[in-house]
Amino acid sequence: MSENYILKLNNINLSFGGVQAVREININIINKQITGIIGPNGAGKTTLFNIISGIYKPDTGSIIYNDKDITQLPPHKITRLGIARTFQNLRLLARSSVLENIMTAAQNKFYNYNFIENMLHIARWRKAERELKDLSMSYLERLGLADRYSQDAGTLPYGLQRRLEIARALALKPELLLLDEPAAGMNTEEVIELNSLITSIHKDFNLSIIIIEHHMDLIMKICPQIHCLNFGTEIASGSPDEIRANQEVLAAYLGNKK
Amino acid sequence: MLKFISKINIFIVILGFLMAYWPMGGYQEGIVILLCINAIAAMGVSILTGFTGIFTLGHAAYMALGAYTTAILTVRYDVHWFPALIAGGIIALIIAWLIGIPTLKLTGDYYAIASIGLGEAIRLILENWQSFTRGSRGFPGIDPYTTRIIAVAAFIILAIFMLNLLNGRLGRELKATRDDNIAASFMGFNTTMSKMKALLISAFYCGISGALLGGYMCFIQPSMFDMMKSTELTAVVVFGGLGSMTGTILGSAAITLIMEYFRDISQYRMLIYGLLLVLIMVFRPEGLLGSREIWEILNFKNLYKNSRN
Repeated sequence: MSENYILKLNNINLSFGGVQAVREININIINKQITGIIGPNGAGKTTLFNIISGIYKPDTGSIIYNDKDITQLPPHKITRLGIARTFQNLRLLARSSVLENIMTAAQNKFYNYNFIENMLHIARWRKAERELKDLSMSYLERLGLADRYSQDAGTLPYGLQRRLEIARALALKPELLLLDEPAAGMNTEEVIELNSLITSIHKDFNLSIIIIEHHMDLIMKICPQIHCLNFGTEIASGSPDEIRANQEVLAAYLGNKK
Repeated sequence: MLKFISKINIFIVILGFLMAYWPMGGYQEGIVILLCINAIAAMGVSILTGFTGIFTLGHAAYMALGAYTTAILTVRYDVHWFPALIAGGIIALIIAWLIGIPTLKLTGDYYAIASIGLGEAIRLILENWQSFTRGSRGFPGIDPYTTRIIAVAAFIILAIFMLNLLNGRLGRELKATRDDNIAASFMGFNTTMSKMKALLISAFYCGISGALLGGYMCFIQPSMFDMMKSTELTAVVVFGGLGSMTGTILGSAAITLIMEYFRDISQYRMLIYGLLLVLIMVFRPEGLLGSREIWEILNFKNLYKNSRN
């Protein structure tokens, strides 16, 4: 490996019918860094996440994660390899409690008991369930949701539901975390809070993170490396300052002078 | 030993002893046996429909498979009823596996439609394979192996297994699959496999239930396992509350008892059955217990310590 990349997207193309949603994307994600992806609406950012996480298969190109080709793997296998994501339009288990949401996510990376032990509630079952519960509570405490553990996830306020999604993604013990517009629908104060949350998670859990976001101030503050998409192609990449100065990025957001 | 058994299990066992040894007449014994048989089948459908969100309208076919397997093994091949009973469940499970491979990729209503066809197909095969199943004339002369104690014991054991399974990793996996297929796959679950697990367990339960029914009636025929029966099974689960196993058991008991009570006016029984379903759908659309188990409603948290907290 020439450089320390955790994820490499090689020449990704995807079209839906006649619409080319993603065109010749070549992006390398640096290990243990927060990478930002920005772009106007419809630029193909979420589509790119869906390709990485396995919902869509690209028409051409390959996705290399930790030197392993994951292009054709189904979502659950990609998740098990250590890529976790959150969703722009939350996908919590609304009818389960907050704690159960985390336990459901954490149980796959947790040491197991088998079907018979589950059926008879013997041997490892009791200990494993208790430890799983403690582990899940530790994630909730980390994200400040511990006092809400018994509440149904669907009844949480919106901002906390977003936090719960992040907590659930962390419970999957990922190496690479994909955050799809984590600040959507948040006010300035909440964005600042989220900002420090993401940086502290990044440090504590030793993660690589990719963020899609519209809040420029958030992205500019925490991402050393930013990629800008427009109409499915990458138009610019670089440090926040480079992006800020880039004419094409300005044109994409504000329109051409002319 | 006590340390390993949740208190709710002890409660169920006590209930079972009462059901099995409380002195009662022959008629009441028959009702208890029917209660157990219906509850086992309803539990089977409940794990699939209530906990995994797959509506089925063909599960009477798995009862038929269990019933015929056990009947043929005991009558033709002189197998002892107990291994034959287990074989009935296993055959239903194997057929469910074969059926599940192509159909479980279907989601929502499509599976329900497919299950009608599959259920009817299995019934028609049993009806037309005259040389093996005696077709629509029915299969007589089955040993009356389903005594009260055996029916109750089967119900108790299977109920405990089911409640234990749902209170643990499998239960969470199935609920995740039910509530959000995509979210479940992003939590690392192979959702097709999760659905398959639920289908296999449910087919096994229905197979055992059918086998017990054969041993109780001493006579089975394909028309006992028609679409009406399948619909009834799903209706009982909806009646009890989708996502509540204890609700399913209560609902199944309630419907069995009410149907039994109106046996005198047998012509109008379906009318009452229909009325009952309409009433529950109007006044309690989420079903008898909704999606909560009974200890959550009664708030016996200490009774089932490991369920939530």
